[in-house]
Amino acid sequence: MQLLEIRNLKASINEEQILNGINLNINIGEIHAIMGPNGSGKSTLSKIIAGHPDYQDYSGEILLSGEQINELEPSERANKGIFLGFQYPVEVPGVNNAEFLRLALNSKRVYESKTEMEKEEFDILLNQKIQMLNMDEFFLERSVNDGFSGGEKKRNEILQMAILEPRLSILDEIDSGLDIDALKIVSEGINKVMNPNNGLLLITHYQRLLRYVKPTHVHIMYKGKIVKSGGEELAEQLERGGYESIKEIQPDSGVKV
Amino acid sequence: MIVAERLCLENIREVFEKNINNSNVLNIKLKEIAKESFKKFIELGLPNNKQEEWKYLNLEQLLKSNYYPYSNFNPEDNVQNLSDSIEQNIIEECKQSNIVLINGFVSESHSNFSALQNKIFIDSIHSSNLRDNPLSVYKEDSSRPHQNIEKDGGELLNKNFNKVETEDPFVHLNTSFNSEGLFIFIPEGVELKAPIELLLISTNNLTINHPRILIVSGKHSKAKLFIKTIGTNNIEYFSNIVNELTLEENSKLEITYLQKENGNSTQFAFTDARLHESSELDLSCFAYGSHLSRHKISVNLNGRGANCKLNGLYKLSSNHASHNQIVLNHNVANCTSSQFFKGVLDENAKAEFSGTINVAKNAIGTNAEQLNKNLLLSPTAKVDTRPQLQIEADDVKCSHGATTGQLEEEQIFYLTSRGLPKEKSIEVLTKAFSDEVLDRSSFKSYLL
Repeated sequence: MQLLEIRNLKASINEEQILNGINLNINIGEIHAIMGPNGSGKSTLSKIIAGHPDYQDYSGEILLSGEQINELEPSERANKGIFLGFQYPVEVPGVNNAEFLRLALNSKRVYESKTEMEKEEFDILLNQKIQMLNMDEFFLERSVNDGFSGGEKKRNEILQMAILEPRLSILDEIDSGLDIDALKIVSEGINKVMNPNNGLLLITHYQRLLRYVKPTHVHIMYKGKIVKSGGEELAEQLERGGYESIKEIQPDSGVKV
Repeated sequence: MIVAERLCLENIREVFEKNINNSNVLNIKLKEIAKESFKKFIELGLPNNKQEEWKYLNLEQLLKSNYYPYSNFNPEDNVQNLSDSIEQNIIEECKQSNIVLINGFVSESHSNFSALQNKIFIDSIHSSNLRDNPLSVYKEDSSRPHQNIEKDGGELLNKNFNKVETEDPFVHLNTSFNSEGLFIFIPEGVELKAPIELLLISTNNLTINHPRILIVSGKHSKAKLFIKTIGTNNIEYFSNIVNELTLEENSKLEITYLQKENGNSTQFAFTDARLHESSELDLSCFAYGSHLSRHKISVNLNGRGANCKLNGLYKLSSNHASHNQIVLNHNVANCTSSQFFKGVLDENAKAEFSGTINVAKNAIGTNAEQLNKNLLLSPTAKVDTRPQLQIEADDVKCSHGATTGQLEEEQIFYLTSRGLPKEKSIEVLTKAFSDEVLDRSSFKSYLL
């Protein structure tokens, strides 16, 4: 069943063309990885899907379960089941992490015309998720990402994902800045949240994340276009030969790979 | 404008003269003080925007207004219908430790200070001719430390009342008119567990009232106060408040001052604090109401080791304006002070923060910090912030800073991307900004 469909997405920032006609289909139960050199437009794509206000200048269509979401506010997209894990999670001093998680979940529940979850009930849920992700409870007492290490911020993103149970998660370079131990922990967390009823789009520069979170589809993005799509073997090819081994990426392109 | 200004002054003079000549309320000494103050007030005249201190205030409406001061007001008359709103504004912890002032006059029938009886001394400043007995005594012999201000018994009042050194005309106006006032003395060594609430309520249209509060905390005493100022809905008034605080050696006073006047009102408040050796003042000020409010805080650190913490939050919308003017004088060595003021301004709101730290020549070992942060939620909101340092001593640690800005777009996007609607995200972020000040008050739950 179709989860996300992107049709001919073109976008520019400050009059520079960043996305050059992206087409992408993600079905329920699939894990897609978009890989590509720096500057190929991967993060722009994720922000446009999530509805970032700075990325409004685009054409094409974004459909979630067949419904066009181009005009929707970021909060509505989130409440319909899109979750963006940030490359650089934002620090929000003064907003308690546990309280924020409850606000977020209740926003979704209100959107779905469900009753809000009381603190007691939510705390039970939160404890389950914390345990599932092997996280420390101290995460909950602190302000959102405030003073967190890089690894803690990324784990906090996965905790949010686990609480919100999105239909489609987009994780933008969730692996960046993580050492190997932290990468394993974050990957395990992702795998625990994934199930046959949701989908995942991983955006990454490196192949190593894909050793732990196995993709069903791999796309190579270059100069704002998906230049090659395949299965897991494509990621393996990248690991062996680097981006130079992909013939669709021309060595004289001037793009640093 | 000139005509209006004269009109205002003439009203005031007329009432003052009637008041002072007919008054059997004031004793001779207090009459003298009132007369001197009025002379000084007339001498100084009403302020204008050319004066540095008044530069940022929009005085036009106040000076144009035709307000009358009270001549004689009985707080027990015609105020029965106030019971509900008074009841609502007395906080849970203070149900038996509150004092209600109506238009600046203590209302015994609306107050309940049973929990304070025999612990602290409470009376009106001018009570010697008003009441047979003080409101609350702290010794069995019912002695009044200020019974006869001309004689020795009045020493405490003599030493502490009307000690504000200022050229501010409104302080002198208050002293000329403060018909009764409230005097609280926390005796030596007394540590109050329950906080005290002072509720100041204005009830009459087109009037100026002059609440006057004098608090003396005796050596090694400890107390917490919640002062709230409100007004009856839909009336227009000018509340001109003066608070005098004396902290004796090693005493500790924590005060939360909540200005929640109605939107038609003007409030000028002047708080003058004198801190003796090793005393500690913790004063948090919240300005939420009034279309024009000004709080001038003058702190004199007069004894070594004194410590003063000032916190403030002004939260304004519409075309309301709030002015916070602080003068912190480090007069002796080894004192500590901090000022932490934040503002949240929406729509066409306007605020001023002027904070001056003066460090005298012999005030070595001073540690003073000052920080003012403002959050503008609308492009038409405006803040003037003026931190100033005047240091004449060596070996001091002083810091000051000010910021003014909007909410960060990336934070808003982060919250909305988690499903919080944009308005809710802004509310959450604004609350987080305010909480930093609110968390410093023991009365946070009553300040939201």
